[in-house]
Amino acid sequence: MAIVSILAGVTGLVSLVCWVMTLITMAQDKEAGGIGHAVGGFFCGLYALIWGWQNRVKHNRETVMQVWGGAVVAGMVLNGIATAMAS
Amino acid sequence: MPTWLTKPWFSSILATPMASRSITAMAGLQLAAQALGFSFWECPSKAAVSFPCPGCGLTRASVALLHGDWAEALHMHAGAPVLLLCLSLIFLAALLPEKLRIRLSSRIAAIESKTGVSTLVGGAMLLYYLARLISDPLGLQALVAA
Repeated sequence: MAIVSILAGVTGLVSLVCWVMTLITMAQDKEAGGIGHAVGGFFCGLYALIWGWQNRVKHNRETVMQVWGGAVVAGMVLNGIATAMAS
Repeated sequence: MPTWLTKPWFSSILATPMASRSITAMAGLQLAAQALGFSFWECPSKAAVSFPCPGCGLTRASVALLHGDWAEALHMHAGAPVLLLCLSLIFLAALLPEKLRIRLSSRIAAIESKTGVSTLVGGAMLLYYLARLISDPLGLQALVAA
């Protein structure tokens, strides 16, 4: 149980770093709306994830998005396991 | 008005079918999962450092609003009506044929360019988040952790 929680925390941390990197990319992309756009991504991480995936080639962020996508899926699985173990 | 304020960005989501359809699908999944009592998407900030981000509580507030529970929705997150309005526009754009979708996104882009409404609303929500953090940090964390 503790290992699952630690792993879930690690995936959360990876997601957080990738989210911040994506927000910086959003803010730097003046064509897409710049800072105002990044505020939208700050409010909704899910939107930042979708935007990041769709613009990963344009901004050369393929590795970041693959890592973030993997962390999100791993987080879902680990949270599911933690919930199942707790009940 | 400065260009960073009036640069349209919300309309670009409406103009791009891939974006509007992806967001509709993901938001639909998240709202459905929340209505069933679990979360499909976990906030990175909450998951990593147990600290609420400005959007934490928005999904639950939106589900409460969809059930007509305004008091609960506004207590959870005052941005729920804004989110549902944005999601309705994105959902509409995802369904509309190309010609109508372009007309809709052009109208929204014109409003954004004239008023800077998207960035202003984002800024207002940030101020609301800061006010919540300062006035009742423990309450906000408890609300989000629940």
